[in-house]
Amino acid sequence: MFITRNMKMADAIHHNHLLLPVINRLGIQLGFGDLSIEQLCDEKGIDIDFFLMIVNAFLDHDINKTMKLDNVSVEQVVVYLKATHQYYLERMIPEVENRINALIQHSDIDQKQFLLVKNFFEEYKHEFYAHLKHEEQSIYPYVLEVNQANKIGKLEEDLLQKIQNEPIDSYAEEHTDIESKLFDLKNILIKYLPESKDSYLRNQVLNALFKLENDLNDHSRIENMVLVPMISVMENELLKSC
Amino acid sequence: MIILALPTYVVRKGLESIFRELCTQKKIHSTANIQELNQYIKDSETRLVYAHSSFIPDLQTNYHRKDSCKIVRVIDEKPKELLEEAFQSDILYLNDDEQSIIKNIKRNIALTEKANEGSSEESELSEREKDIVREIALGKTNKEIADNLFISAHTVITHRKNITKKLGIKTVSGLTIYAILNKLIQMEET
Ligand SMILES: [Fe+2]
Ligand SMILES: [Fe+2]
Repeated sequence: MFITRNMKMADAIHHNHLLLPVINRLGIQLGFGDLSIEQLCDEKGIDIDFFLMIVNAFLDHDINKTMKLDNVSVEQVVVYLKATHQYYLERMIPEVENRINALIQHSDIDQKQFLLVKNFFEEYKHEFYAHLKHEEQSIYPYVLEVNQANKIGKLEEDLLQKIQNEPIDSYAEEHTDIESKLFDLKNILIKYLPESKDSYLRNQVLNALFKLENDLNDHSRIENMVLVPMISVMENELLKSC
Repeated sequence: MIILALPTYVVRKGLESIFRELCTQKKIHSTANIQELNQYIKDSETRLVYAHSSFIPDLQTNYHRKDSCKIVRVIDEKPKELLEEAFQSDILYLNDDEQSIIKNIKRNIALTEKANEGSSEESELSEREKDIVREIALGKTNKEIADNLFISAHTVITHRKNITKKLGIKTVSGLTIYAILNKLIQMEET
């Protein structure tokens, strides 16, 4: 199902509750009564087309179908991606961690085996932080720079060098896959840790992991399939013009 | 990925819902557009295509693809003289009875799933694969593993692929935990 402007925001959430953090990051908090998406976006000063694109990209995984890249604003995409990073750091990663800790405290299985899980996630966290930091400190600023140069139609010498040496495609190639480890962790919890008397706390960890993975998949898709192609086009135009 | 290409809306949607009932694979796309269909056929993820007979003349299947993609022709009416004919998995007759249609679809889905996952039934590691997991868990590189086990680096890579398929674990740290939990190595060794 596609989310449209006349739909009530509440109905969109009832359709798929995983949209909750997505609309939060786009600037909408709960308590919106019976307002439609259009009314709500108007009220909050949110670009409705952008809103609909992000939400539909999250639901329907085929971005090429849901997004028209020509009229997407790079600044908006970057703001959204950063807000998503923030949400991972402040909410989703701590949520997984808390649940792993709860699992360890109350488990009837050998402590050592669960410590493996904790260490594994600890290691993952470091990789995850490094990934986000690299994007925020190098990639996003570069992206904004290219976008700005493209807007004013002027290419400074140092940006030209950056485009020649490290175009956005080189980021795309190296864009590490930060979902693999989550995938492994899920299988370890589902299949390979010994059977426990009660799985509730283990389920809790898994629920948090599935949620994080789903959200992360959407985030990486926007980076790879929206940000990269948009910037790649701009780079080529800038190179041609000089 | 499975593609259903049929010009009639109701038929397309109907077939799609039968597919969704019969198979767990999430990626099923339906289209009424020949260009889109040709685009999908080029995609290496596409394993199975049901194309209506009216699309067949414009189908572009002559480019090079390493992996196989099966194309099933969808025909509106089963000719009367064929009524008693033996089962064919590469043709689907829309006016056929429920049983035959389900049989055709199930057969073809099973084919694509085999092509996808190799032997998805088998998940037990072989002794050789266990050796390799042990080495990976001890932090060895492909080259070192090859030398230690007297096999080629290429063979090591093939084994690693199969291990990942069987266990659903891709990373070195993940395999290390697997190795410890299954006592392939001692925790102290890591
Ligand atoms: Fe990111
Ligand atoms: Fe990323």
